[in-house]
Amino acid sequence: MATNLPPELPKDCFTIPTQVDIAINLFWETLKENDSFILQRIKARKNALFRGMMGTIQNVFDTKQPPYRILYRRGASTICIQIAVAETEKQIEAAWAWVQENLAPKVVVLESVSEKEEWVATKINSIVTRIDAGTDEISIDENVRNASRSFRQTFDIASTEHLVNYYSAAYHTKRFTSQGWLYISENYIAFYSFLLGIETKLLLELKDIQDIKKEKSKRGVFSDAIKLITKDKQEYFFSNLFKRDEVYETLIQLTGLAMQRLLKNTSLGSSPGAEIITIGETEDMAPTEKEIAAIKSLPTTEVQKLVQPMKMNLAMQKQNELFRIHFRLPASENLNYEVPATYLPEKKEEEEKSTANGNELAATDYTGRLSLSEAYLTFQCLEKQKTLEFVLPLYTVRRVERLNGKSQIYSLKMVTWHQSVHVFNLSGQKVQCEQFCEVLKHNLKNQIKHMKDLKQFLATCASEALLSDDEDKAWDSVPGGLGLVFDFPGDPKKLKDRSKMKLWKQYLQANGRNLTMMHAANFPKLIRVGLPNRLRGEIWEACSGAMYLRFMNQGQFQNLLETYKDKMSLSIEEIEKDLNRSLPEYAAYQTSEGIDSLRRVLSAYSWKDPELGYCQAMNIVTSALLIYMSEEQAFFTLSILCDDYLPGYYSTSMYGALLDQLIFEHLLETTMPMLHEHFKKADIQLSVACLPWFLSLYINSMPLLFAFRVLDCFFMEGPKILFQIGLAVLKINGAELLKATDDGAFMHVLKNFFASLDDPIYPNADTAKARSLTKFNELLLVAYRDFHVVTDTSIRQLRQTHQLKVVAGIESFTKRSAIRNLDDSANLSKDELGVLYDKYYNAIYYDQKRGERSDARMNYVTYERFMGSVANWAKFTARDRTAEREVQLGIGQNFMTRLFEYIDTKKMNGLTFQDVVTGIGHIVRNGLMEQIEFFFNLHDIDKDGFLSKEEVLQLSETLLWLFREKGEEGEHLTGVSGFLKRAYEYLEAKPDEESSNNKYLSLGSCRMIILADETLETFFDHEFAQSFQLTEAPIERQSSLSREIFDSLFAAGSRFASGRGSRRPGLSNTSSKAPSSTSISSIIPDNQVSDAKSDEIGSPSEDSQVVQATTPSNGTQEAVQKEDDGDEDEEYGDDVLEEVDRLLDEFEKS
Amino acid sequence: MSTQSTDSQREATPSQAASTPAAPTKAVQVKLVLLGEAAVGKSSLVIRFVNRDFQENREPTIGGDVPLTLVHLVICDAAAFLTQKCNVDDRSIKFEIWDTAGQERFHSLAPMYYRNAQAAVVVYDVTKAASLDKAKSWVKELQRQANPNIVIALVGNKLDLVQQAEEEDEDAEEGTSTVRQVPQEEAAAYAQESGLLFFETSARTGDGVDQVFSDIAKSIPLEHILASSRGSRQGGSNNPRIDLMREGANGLRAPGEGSNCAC
Repeated sequence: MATNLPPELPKDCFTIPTQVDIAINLFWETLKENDSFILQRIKARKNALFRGMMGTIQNVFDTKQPPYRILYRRGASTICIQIAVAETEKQIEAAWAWVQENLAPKVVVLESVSEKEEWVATKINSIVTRIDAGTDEISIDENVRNASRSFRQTFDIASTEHLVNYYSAAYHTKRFTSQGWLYISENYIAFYSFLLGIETKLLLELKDIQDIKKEKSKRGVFSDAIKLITKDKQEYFFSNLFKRDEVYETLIQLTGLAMQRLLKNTSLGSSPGAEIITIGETEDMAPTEKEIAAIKSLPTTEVQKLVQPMKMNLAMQKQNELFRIHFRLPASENLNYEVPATYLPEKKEEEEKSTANGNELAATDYTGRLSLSEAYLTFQCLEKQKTLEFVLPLYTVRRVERLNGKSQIYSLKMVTWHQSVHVFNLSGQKVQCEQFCEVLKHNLKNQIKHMKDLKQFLATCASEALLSDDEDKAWDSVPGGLGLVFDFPGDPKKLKDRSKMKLWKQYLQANGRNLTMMHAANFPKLIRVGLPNRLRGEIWEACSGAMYLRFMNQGQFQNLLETYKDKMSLSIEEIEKDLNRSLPEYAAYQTSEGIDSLRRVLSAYSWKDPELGYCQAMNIVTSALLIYMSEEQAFFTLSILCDDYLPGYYSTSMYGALLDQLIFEHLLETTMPMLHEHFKKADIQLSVACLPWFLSLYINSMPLLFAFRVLDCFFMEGPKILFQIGLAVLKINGAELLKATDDGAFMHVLKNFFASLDDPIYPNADTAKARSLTKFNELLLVAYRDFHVVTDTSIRQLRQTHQLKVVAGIESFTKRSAIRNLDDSANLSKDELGVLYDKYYNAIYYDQKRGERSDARMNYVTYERFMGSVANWAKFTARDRTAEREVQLGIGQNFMTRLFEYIDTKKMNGLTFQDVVTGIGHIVRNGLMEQIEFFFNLHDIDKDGFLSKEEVLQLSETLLWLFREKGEEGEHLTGVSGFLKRAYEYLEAKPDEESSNNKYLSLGSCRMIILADETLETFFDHEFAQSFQLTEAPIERQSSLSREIFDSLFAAGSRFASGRGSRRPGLSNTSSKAPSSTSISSIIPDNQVSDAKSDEIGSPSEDSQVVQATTPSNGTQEAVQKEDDGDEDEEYGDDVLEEVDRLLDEFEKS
Repeated sequence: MSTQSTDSQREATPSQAASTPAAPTKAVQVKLVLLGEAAVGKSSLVIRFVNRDFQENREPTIGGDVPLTLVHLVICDAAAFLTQKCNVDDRSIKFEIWDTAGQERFHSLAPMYYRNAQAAVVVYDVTKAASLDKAKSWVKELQRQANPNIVIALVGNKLDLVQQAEEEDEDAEEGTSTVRQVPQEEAAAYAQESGLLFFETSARTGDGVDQVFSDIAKSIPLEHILASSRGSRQGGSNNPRIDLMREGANGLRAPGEGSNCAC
């Protein structure tokens, strides 16, 4: 990355310069110093109490300080600037040497103190920024930077992982509580505490979280706790969260993102809507090296984007989303600026004069908020009794002027394309108003170019015809739905179509039309009585925001059709099957005209979103839309449905539809508990009836005419209406449903109800009006009246909070089907296959680029990560990547590549799950002889059945590499060197070329040599096979660990409580009596405090550096405890946390 | 074998089925689920059986005398539901037929429909080899995840297309037709090996359709159903509610456990 750095610049030491005061910090001792720099080490390495307290303080203040640092002296002051830190003496020495060499001489030359300081700071800054580009180290928030560093060091997280935020929190297990820090990053949630010598460390992957619940704290008093439940049914309880709701929201948002990735990750097969390309065209696959390079290099824009702390990004994202959803704006819009404002409706001249004198607000004015995005200006009235809301696309604004004469107020007058006048009085602070106007000016300028598209666009709007002077003629040229040709369903007279049309004409004249239509107080009423046929399509698209999308993407629909003309995809085939069975009772769909229309819209959409492609039920929805809408209108409305109204409904996993079923059931439980209870008892599955309601928006369940009425409300009010109608259906039929005892009876009741929607409720009523009321009217009434608690906001929240469960369900289903559908299970057990599956998709998950769909096959880079999680020897640690192991690394990667090629039986340069199962299954099940043969063949590069000298050498090197962590006993080393020696002795000529001088090793000889060495024999017999970890780590580990922690915590607490904390060092190991119970606390030599923190319990005791560098992704949790002193059985202290306070007091006094 | 195939009575429309008076002997209710790839003719098969009718989608006869509710069933998107009574030998059985959507992405919903089912009709298209593979995977899933006593029938549909092609091409030896992609023997052998009933049908002509249902009716272990339904009415069902969201969709029974269930 940073090629022009001085050659010996030590990595990972330099920090962004921060101030420290050496006068108040008693814990450091100076090792080296010169005129400008000081090298320091943490003191108090021998005193147990001191060390414990040091850790405690560091923990409490979240300043997990590495034990070495280099400071720059600012003249005579005690304030220094920290420029480097390190965990080991060696590292800091290297940094010191570099500083001595490069910085010190120049600092001396510079004259003034400030000049020196600036120079040092700039120099260090530039180093750090170059080294750490793309990480939180260059984040603008210093606190985040520090926390991020300690988070990543503590948990050994890759530097590309971004910390979102960190919070003070307490972590509870069954028996103890520890106070520490909760870190939330993009992919992890972590807890760390180091109190009184006891370290608690917990790392969870966000993608493994299945449920997040707000809870009361353990004592039940404060609502400051959160409970997390992971997929393996473990629960984690955190309390003392002062910003509990913020933590909750953040977690919901992040886990939501993780879920999206997960869904993409495990969805079966590739994009169904993607064009099918014949094999011949796919041959020029990118070579592996290129893939590696592509993954390793981060695009610069990505880096810049991430310089801001993640938390701010997330907050902004959320705000934007709410804004967009509220006004149904396209996804490209961002909230640029907001200002409080009063809207003054257009007035006649004389009226304006009369109000212009006094600045009082007239009764017809609306006070609210004006918001601005790139292409839209929105206004929302915030007065309680008044309703007014509208979107003013900037491309429809012809003129903006600032009205003079009202010196105190910023008054803006806007004139739109249709000559309607909008006046806004901005009521914010002066600066705010000025800035708003600036942004407005800028955004307006950018939209000018789109104004030219307006005329042709308006020609496609029915409202233009309705309001035109020559109405009859104008109607002829407006495109519309199939109803224009094949008649609209229903009797127009009975529907009172003409009078509805008249009402709408008045409304549009008063409140603007199509792109600039306002939502006034009577707007919902007009919609709820049913839309008139010829306006229906336009109101649908205006309400849903599909119209903005259509305006901004004019021509897209036609282009898609042309680009993909005659192209095939899986989705196109599926669409073809369903064309003839989409609303076949409507006349148009019995002709090719209607069928072709439907085909065009559905295929264009499948090309637009190949990942979704086509889902059955989309045909039903689209065929309904097309009766009232042109193809282009239907196309964009379908987009809005799939992306905004019904996210995930039609995706390959259909998670959105399942999610809404869960929410529907939840709502039933809260609103009609008796019915819910009955369904549960009678074992009635709600979804068998209700899923189709949601999937096809009731179009399939109700008589068409009523379904369109529901659609009218749906487009205006959003997805909540689906729930309200559903609940009302159940409520109205409640008595009948309580009698139903199985799914079948349940279905009958509902079916009969839907068939009777047109029946009058009061057939014998006196008045004609009462007689005309139908069951459908009742349904709408009940839906709105009794279920008004269901709002779009609540649905959105419920979707967020329930999605984790749904995704977990889908995942486990996908996993089981994938395992069930394996052609060859390679004799692996179900559990082993399960572990392989998890590890396979885990590796793919983390190598997926954000927002991008992963290939169905695993490439080499991902495979390396995967193998590392399966077998220890395949893990490339940081140490493996150091310079002195460079040669070995090459050998290792060479072997890994051959193994990859072996597993990649179809030579596709990528591995499917089946490939992995077959390949690893064979290796694991190989007996001694087969395993030798397997290694033999793997190294027989020319496939001649013999190993050449060179190949023998490579085999030995591979073995050495596999043994690299085997420790120093040397038997493996001896084994391999013995093998090499004897192999050369047994080289022979090939049988068919006996005269040749070239000598080879045969398989037979190879076996013989290996069998002669016990170490090697053991290795081939079972050691290698067993090195593949295909069993789940036992869950019990967690609980027993908690117990150990608890025990040692008590021991430590009691020690302090009894005032005997400062025991003499050195005696601790020998004099300690048996700990209170079964504690097996590791006793750690004094000088390893910081190194040892990263030890993982459960992994073999390897040298700590190696462990430190392993990726944590395969072990989801680790709770590590450590006690640096022997235990004593003393009286137990009550609350160890109190001790912290006391210690802190003491510290302050000293 | 079955002379009773025409015995299956028609019950006007499904919506009336519930209110139609029961046959002399009280009919035993049997839950039957249809599974299979999209467009192999699952719905047509049911319509043929229940309504004695075939609806050629292209023919604009649809709007006519067919009740609206039924049309909605034909174009089922997620699943449709019909009932049909069937008298075979001395048995009177009321089929509760659940038709499912065939598209792959609906697969995860299927357990919701086949839970507690006593019979399953797995349909493939004799003119499409791939549809048999899908059928096999359904059979595999049913045998592992569904009711352990479930009666499974494998049905190769669209036989009329093969017959039509053979008639047009009279010179060709029988069985060499290029239209047929799944040889009868192959499917039959598979069915026997897996313990399935096997049929080839044409929903268009009605060939073999009734036999599918009457043979299933004969194979159903009625005593078992009566016993278990009595049990489930009291809430003691052996098949716990399927919770789509929590346990993944298909059932709570551990895989593989189903076959040795002794109940």
